[in-house]
Amino acid sequence: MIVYKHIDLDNRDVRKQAAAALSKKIITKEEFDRIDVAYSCDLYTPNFFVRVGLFLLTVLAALCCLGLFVLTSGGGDKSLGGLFIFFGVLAYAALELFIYTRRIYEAGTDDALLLIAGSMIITGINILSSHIDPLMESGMVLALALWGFVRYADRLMALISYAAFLCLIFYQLGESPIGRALLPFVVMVVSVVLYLLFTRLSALSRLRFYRSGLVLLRVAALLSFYAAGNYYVVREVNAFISHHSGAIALGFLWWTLTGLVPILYIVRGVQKKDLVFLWTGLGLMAAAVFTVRYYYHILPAELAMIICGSILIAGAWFLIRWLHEPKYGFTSAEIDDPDPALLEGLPVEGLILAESFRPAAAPPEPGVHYGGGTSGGGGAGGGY
Amino acid sequence: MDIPLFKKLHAEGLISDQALGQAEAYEGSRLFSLFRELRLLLYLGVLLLTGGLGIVVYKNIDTIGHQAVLVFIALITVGSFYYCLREKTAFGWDKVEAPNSIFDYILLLGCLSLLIFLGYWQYQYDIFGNNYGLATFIPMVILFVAAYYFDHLGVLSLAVTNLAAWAGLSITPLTLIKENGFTDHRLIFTGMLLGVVLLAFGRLTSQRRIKAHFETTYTNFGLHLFFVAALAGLFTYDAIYLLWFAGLAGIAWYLCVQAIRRRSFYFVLMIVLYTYIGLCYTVLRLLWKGSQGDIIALGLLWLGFSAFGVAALLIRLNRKIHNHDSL
Repeated sequence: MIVYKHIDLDNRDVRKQAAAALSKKIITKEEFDRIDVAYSCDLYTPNFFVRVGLFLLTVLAALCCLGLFVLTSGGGDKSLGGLFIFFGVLAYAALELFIYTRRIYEAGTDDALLLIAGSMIITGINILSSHIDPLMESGMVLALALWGFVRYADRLMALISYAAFLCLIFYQLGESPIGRALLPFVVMVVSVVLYLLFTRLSALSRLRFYRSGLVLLRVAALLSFYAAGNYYVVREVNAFISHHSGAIALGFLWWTLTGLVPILYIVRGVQKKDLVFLWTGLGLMAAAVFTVRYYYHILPAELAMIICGSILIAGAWFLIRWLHEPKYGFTSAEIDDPDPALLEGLPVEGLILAESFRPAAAPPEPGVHYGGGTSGGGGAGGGY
Repeated sequence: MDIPLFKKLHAEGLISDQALGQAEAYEGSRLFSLFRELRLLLYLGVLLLTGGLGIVVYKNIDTIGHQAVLVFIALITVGSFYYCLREKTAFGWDKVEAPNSIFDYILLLGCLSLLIFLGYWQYQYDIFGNNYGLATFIPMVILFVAAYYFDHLGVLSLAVTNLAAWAGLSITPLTLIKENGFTDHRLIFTGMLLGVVLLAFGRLTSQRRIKAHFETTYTNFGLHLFFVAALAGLFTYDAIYLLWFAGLAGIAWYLCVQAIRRRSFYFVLMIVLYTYIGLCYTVLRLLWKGSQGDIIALGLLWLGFSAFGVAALLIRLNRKIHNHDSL
């Protein structure tokens, strides 16, 4: 099924592991070189930034190509729709060709072509048929994205197909009143089942090339489980399908789930030392806080920020000090180097910081009276 | 480490007994590190706390009578700097590692609350008078001193954005294009000049080895500022756009050679893309002028083919940097 030769992908993994072992000085340079020769791999995967560049340029080139096609074709909805579909198929062909001849893998060009191919075909079908219901639309997206994931092991396609699957359930159940009432529970059950399935699948060695995609799918399943029980989501989705907003039934249940699920995720993440649970839980903690604040203005925002900030600082400080000496297999010390190739020591943290605390630019005319906010979030406008 | 894999490599005679033993020992003693998680929480905490304090001051700027908030902010500032001065490792012109993992965040807390404090002070008591320049100049100097003295990249970024604010520009990632309105001639030249100054300073930093690891920050801000301002100039000065592009391309060439030499994929990509935008603008204008006929088709043809060309260029540059790697 997968377009790449198994041996190439396997060798690629061996080389990665060897490089990691070399950087930790577990193997010597000579051993690394021997592995390098024995496990050769001619897949072309450029640096991350080159990948981004190639992605953008491929999109540009493809859109220009499409533009030329449209120019030469003349008008007419029918021919235009056919043209889009033809172009999508052409993009798939180009993708296969590039993979066979140039051996590209996660190179930017392949990501772009896959995305373009799918979206062009969907657009074409939409132009051709006068009316497609959302159910059909989700089904088409699901089919194409799933194909993209299975054949090219593309992670974005894995996420798209998961989202499309959720849409499918949503539109299917949204049609009847009983379905609407059951929707959150169905999504929760589906999420749990799929989470277990993805976990099982990623343990299979036959599916080893899909592992990174399956990790993302596990995160997606955890997220959809939370979303299905989150008060805000349930209320808004309910308002969307039943066309009248307002308080919803079982409010207590949703509020419990909103607050409890992130904590359970974090607890499980710590218990099982599972990064997927831990990071998802940390992220959803913020979602829970925002949900509560959206409905209950217990405190003004700035006070909440100050209190939360102080608690975070104190808690993190305490944990860092406490775990200075490893306890229960945990440590606060750095053991795995952050991926140096990816960010190349770019001051990402500094940029986020500069963005959050941007100073107001000086007015062009000197001598204009100035009065306000040189700094501080929200104070950036500065009245002068 | 994948132990079965290492056993297989060992059986194939590719790695020694010792290496296999080390891999097993590594995996056996492996701890679950919360390094990144805890630091992220700490960072969020600092941002939330200082952000909240900033808003409190901003909202109540006319009504704070009892000064309690101010005292609170002053206490945080003094406490943070006291901690940093006490804990810091000896100053050096090379990279100095932070004494512990909390140090960087406490320093950040101190610097941010100091900024809030100075901002309020200026508003309330006009300590810098009506002189806006001075009101941004003083925080900038303090930030630069703190960045160099305590060796902190985040504070350095703050200092550089303050420097730009002092020059009348807003150069944070999201506001660079949006807020400056680069049609103003003064801003275009200020931007280009400041960009060049930052780039030159970055180079000096690495050549003289004055905190050489600060170079990336200077180059990053300088590069984006320069190219955005220069492209704005290209779009603004109609009459001399060919000349302008030639100058832009020349500087881009120089910067690209530098970036390849220091093997930075990121800077190479940025330079290539910015220059490509300028090139496309120039070529499309030439086409517009030269042809009466099907300008759209010609433009699309040009864009399509040139995109392929630039993609090939990127691949070649990538390979070139890699080859440098093995030298």
